[in-house]
Amino acid sequence: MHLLTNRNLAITAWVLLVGLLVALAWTQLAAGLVLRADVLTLLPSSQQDLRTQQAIDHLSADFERQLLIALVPRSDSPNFAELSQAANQLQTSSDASKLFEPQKMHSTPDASTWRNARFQLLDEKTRELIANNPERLLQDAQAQLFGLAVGSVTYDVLQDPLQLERRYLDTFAPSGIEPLSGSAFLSTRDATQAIITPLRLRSSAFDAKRAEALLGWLEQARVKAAESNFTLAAGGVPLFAAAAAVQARKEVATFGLLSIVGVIALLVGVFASIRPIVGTVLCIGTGAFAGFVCTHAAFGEVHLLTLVFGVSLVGISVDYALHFLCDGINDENWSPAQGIRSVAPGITLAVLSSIAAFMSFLGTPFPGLQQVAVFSAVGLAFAWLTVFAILPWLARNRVSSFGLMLRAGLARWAQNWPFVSPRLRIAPGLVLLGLIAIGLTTLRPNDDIRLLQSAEPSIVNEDATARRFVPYSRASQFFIVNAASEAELISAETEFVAALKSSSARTGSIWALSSMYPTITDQTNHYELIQRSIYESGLLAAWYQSIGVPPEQVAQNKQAFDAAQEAISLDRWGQSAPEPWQRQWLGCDDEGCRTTVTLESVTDATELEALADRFSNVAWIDPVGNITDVLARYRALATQALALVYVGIACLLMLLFGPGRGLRIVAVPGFAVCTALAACGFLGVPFSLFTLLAAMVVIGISLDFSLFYHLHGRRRPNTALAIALSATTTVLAFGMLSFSSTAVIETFGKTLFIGIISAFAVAPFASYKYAASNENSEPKKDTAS
Amino acid sequence: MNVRLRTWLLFLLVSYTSPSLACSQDPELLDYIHQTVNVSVWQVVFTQENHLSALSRPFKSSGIVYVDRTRGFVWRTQQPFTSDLVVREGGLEMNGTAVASSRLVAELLRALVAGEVQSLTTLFDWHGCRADDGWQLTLTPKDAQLAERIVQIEARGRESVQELIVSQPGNNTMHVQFEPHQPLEQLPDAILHILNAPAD
Repeated sequence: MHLLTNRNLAITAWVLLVGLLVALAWTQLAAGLVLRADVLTLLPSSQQDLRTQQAIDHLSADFERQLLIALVPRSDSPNFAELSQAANQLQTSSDASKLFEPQKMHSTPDASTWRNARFQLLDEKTRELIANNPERLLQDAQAQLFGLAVGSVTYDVLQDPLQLERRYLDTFAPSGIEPLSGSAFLSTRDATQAIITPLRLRSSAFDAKRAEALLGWLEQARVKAAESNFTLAAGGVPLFAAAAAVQARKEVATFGLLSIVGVIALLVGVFASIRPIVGTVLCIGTGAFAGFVCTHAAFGEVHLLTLVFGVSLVGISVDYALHFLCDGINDENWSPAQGIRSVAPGITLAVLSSIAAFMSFLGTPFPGLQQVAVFSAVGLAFAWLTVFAILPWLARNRVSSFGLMLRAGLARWAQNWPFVSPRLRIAPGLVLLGLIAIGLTTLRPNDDIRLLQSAEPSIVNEDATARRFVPYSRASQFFIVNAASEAELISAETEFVAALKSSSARTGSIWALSSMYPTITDQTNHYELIQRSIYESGLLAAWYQSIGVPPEQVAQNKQAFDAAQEAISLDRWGQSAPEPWQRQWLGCDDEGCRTTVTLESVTDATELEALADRFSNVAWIDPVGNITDVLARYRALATQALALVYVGIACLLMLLFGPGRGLRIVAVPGFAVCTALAACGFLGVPFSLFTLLAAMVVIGISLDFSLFYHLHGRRRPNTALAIALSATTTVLAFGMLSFSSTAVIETFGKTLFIGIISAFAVAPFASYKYAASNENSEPKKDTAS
Repeated sequence: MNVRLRTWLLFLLVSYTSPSLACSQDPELLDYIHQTVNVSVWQVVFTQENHLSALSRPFKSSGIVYVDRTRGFVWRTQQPFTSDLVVREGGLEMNGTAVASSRLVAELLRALVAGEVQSLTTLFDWHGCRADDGWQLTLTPKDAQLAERIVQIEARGRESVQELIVSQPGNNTMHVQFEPHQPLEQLPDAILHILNAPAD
């Protein structure tokens, strides 16, 4: 401790470390700073096996970047010109924005693969026509060759007179939509028609930098659409992500401004100087800088949420600065060296216990929490060093008359605490503890990942409006079917889909490859049917002759037929199928073949999961539910970690101060956290991993309160003032998060607000009785040693 | 043939086959075409040749088109075989069977045959002019997807469309010539029935 209170040594160490950090930051800047904003990267790697994860990734690839725009006409029946003009206007505007890449809603498959297999790939209607009325197919071809062939490539009719390729492809075309112009479609799925334009963002939907640009473009597009008598509705992940990012930015700006104004007003009001502000800002600033540089060095990136939470946790160091800055108030003989000696034991113990607590996050599998652990531990350590090295230059023992008044009031408050005579303390105490116990029992866990990004009802409605016109709206949950071979897979999937259709589960449309892919046997039968009905019967040759096609063209066609005897495998078919069917096919490897069955909607996941359990080769996959389960598991783990950290701190303090005093000190953070959690229970605030993060901050700050009260005695006015200022600045900084519209931030703010207020209210308990011997020494003689 | 004569003949040929070079742009042309079609129901006899680059002989056909500007039209082929193509706002119907995803093509045909070419300006760039013997118009797709199906459309006419040349990828061409149209008070009942009947 003597080494630490040596000012020259502290300054040398601080300057050296700042130099090292600046050098490290310079190299990081040169190599490029990596700041992530994607919320999902904060989550642990999925607990699913690799193949299941691949399936999830395969199905959801690009999902987050897809924005859907629906232009709904306000007039009853807009003409084609109005429709195509509105679509073109949107297309021009989206191209000019540079926010999007070209996107197709229904892409065509690998043409050569499917063209060569056209004699095998027959849909049911075409197969029936060939079997029963093949002349009809040739009449249609004849009508195309002789008639109005605008928009169809006539030569293809000559090559494929039965139009087998087109007929099969048409079965994949989603019903109720058709091309309009560019990438726009006209949807007639609803009673109202609408223009649908699918857009794909160039960058991630969670790229916070693009959020405002996207919302700005949407607003402009809305105005232009309205001028053309259309209503614009947008849907998709980017809409939600952008709205959440902009909302978060607004909240940060509003709450940040209010808290900064509040903190400055408070500190200037008390100290009548800006030196304390410079001191606290320097402590937190250098701590945050050190935390950022070291976290970036350790992980190769820093997440924006790590930055937010990390800086919040480093904010605990405001305590250290305030205790030092308040130490010499009203003491004419006070010197910075004396102040350092006075606060060193308290803030050193505080920083060690906080670092120990935060380092427990390193044991969790959450990359985000691991980053927060490193950020806050390094940041607090550096802030602590800054107090020793730099703050002595900024400290003065002057205070404003308001500060003196506040100090006197707080001293009286601390001296008179708990304001009840010993005989009357038991009953209210028991009532309070009973209420806390009841509150804790009402605490309800909620680990839903969607709490991370809650959306305004207007956005939810707009998304629903846009999706109403789209045929590819699918639930995030799906089934994976696996089997040893392609044939077994088709058989297994067919059997499962039949069971699914006959079950009571309401799923809307079901998409399964087996409904589109003819088995190898079927393909062979199709080929033989065409051979019999079209070629061997002489029907085609006669038709060619009737329309005057030269013999060499006929021979060419026959050669193509003879060469195309091979059936197409499910793997080749799946790889060349149009989107989104291609996504459903997962391929074959040494362990067998796998495909997915997707659903339009899911109303009862339990029932579907139970149905999948009845089939040995079918698995129910619920990515959102899975992440929620993981969050729940790690909430339980983090609760245990918090309890262990608390017990560890208690053991350490009992070792240092003896059992009675140690327990008295840790009682304050324990009470504060329990009160905060109980209040959350009463208020219906969900208990999640983020509640525990707030609880960790409450433990860190309230431990500071109790340590200083214990070490300095509750009758020392400067300690009471420092603790009051610390509590107020913390509440100003974090308490406002209670008003956030994002559930998870609201939870964080409320827990912290209630926890800090509770800690402040009971903190004098830490000095009560055991520090009595020091309490008459106020104010000039400190007890710290 | 001397060089000057050959150059002159080449110029004449280009002027005839390439209307966009033969006349200067007339910004009022589309309105003019719309106004010249001053009846709402009519029939017109057509002859058609579909040229495929792979074949030396074109597919020739002829028949009658029954047009109702508000409802659409029926393209009735009579020679060398009979077939009906119904074109409505919602799409095409070939011999009683709806053609999938054909709304765009239906709108294009309807606009061309009925002379309502203004509605096509969102999809096509256009060039054209008026002359003593009528008007000529060239349409080129703006959209790449549409360009995969149509390279260019040329139309000529006087009171109504008299000639249509649709160039398609692969050097395939559809050439339709119309005789002067015959205004009708209303379409024949059989045609009305076809035009109003929903597809299968």
